[in-house]
Amino acid sequence: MKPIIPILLVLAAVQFSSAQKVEKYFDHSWKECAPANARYYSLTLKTDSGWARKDYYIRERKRQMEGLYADAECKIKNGRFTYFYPDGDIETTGRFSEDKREGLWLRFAQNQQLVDSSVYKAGRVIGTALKWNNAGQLTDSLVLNADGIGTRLSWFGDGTIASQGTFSAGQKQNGTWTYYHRSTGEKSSVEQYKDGLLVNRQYFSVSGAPVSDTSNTEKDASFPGEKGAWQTYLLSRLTLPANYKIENSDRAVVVVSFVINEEGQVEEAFASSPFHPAFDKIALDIIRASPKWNPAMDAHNRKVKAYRRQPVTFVQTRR
Amino acid sequence: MKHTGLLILISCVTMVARGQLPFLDMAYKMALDRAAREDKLVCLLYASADCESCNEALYKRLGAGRVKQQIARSFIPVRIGPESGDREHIRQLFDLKMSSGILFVDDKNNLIYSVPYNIRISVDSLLNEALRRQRSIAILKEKEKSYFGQNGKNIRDLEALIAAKTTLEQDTRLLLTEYLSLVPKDSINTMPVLQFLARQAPVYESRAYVTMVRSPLFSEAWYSIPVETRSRINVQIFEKSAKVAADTEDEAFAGRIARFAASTYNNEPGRKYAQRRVMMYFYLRTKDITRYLDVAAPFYDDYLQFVVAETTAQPAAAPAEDLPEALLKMNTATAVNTVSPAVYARYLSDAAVFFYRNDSAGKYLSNALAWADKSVALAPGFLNQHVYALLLYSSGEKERAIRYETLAIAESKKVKAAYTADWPRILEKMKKGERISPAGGGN
Repeated sequence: MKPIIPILLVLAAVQFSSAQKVEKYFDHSWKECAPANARYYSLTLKTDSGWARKDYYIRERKRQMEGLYADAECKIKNGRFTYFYPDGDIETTGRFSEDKREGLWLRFAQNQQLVDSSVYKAGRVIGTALKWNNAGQLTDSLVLNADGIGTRLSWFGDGTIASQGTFSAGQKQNGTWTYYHRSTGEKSSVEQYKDGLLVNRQYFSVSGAPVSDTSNTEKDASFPGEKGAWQTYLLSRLTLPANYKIENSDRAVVVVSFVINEEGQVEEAFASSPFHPAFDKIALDIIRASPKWNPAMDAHNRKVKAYRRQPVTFVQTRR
Repeated sequence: MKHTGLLILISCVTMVARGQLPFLDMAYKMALDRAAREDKLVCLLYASADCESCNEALYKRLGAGRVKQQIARSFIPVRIGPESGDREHIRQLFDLKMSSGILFVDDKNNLIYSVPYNIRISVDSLLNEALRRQRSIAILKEKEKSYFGQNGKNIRDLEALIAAKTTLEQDTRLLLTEYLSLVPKDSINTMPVLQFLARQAPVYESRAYVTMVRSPLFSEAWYSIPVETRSRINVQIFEKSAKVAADTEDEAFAGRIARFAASTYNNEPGRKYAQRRVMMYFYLRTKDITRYLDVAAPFYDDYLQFVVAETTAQPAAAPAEDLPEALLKMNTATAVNTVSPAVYARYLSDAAVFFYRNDSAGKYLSNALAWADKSVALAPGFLNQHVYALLLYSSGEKERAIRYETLAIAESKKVKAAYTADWPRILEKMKKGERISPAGGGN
């Protein structure tokens, strides 16, 4: 292996570039990197309509994205874009015009359940936009006219109402917006808006009693303990799978996506960037067995789900 | 089982002929009895089932002049060949991961030392190491006695004594209790003391164990130990504890240990694996074969599923589009399974033959047949074919049984494995439709 490393490093420094073709390599966080550490391979070709870019999952040898840019640097999206899961299924598809979403955009969960259907005009939602959860239950309905005037209604997975309110021109919150606790269905916050500006709000406890402190409750989900406790937790449990070794590299990365629910429990964990079933399982088991988190709070005085994407790196040391 | 006894009696006085090897084909139980009478270790030659040339090479080394004399003088040498009725029992008892090796066991059925065939060590060193450990164990026993007899007790000496006994996998319960009474009370809830206790893998529910896990600092102390060490300690705790449960025939305690073992895994298959392993060990050691089979059958069924998943190659999907050449040429990180399919096959076949011999009611015959079927699919060696043939015959599939036994005999002739001598007689019985005794004839 040793003689390969310097060669790869040299290759990394070279961005294959010609007037017609650009090749790049990216790691799992989309940072440009050496081919040896790359998760994604990107190939951009000059066409009559613009710069056609295709990104690939290297390990799966499948497309991750294809789209059309107006420029060689791939900064201005201009044309149809489709994003794919590592298994080849579509994640998101829609069209950009001058870097703004235009027309119908669809997003699918990994189980291919449609989770978002929205129509855009110059980057803004117009008409009816609907969202569903992975199980196909409607969770959000946004109806706007061409001026951005309309209503939003959202639901929890069990069908109970989560929030409701209206928009004035320019899709600005306006009038009374009411938010609800998931656990009891009681109001969590009643907020008054005037053309996008919050003018008053009243918080309510989970049992429905008014709360005097109305300071912003927004707080991200956090792992209990000191800073770095989550990393310590992961590291203290991570082992290489028995009976396996990694070839062609000294490391492997599995990215696990998961949700921290309103109770602080980890749920819906899946390997969004898998490596191998034996490695994926270890990463998933560790994250699924996580102690309870401190749940996230939104600005409407209620616990909400938080979404995480955690890369887990297995490093193989030679003894 | 009566037939077995007779056969064993006959064979136990037969010196294995290969290279004047000092190892006897003796029943394991008899070997333990002899070890107790003569105050020696049993030296088990756990012969390879797959590599007769490996066996022959080792026989040559073990049968050479001085080595042979030392073995005969210092040990009760017993050969556990692929045909041995004790083979699966021993593999289970000591949770052997190796397919062949040499084991040293004391008269109380405790594994003192073991090495696989392929270890690079001279036979002299191997024998000396086993004897050294035996002596060390005896010395530590004496030290423990004298420790309790002395007046000036030193905590550092005690720690050293406990650590030495732990290294040799000896019982430290008494010493750990003594340790807790010597450690100043305000020192018990400190990282060094808690980690010392953890590293001794105290028996589950013992005073040392309870003191350790109840400490408010335990979690911090425990998770400061590297994960590999923690895993090893957990295994040591439930192995040691299961031994205590078996020695006291305390099934309820074994059940609690099994639940503890399960709790050390963060996934359901792991939990089931650990729980069943403890109970299998307990039932095997307490000789409750019926209960053992009841737990072992689902254990091996799950193992079969695992093996199927591990060994079934995913069909390479044809690329849906033309992929860039640079992408196709890239060597990406790849996970490679380091276990040969033959190892999985051997494990399944050993389990199948144990059930064949011990499941007299045939309650799990179809399970054992499925394990043997997979073992043959993975590694069609003559021994696996033979086991498969026996199970097919028991299941009433006479024609297929004859076909596999014929294959097994033909293959075994290529390597001249001595324990296959009886197979033609078994084949004749199959052809005549006669009953084959799992205990005796179905070696």
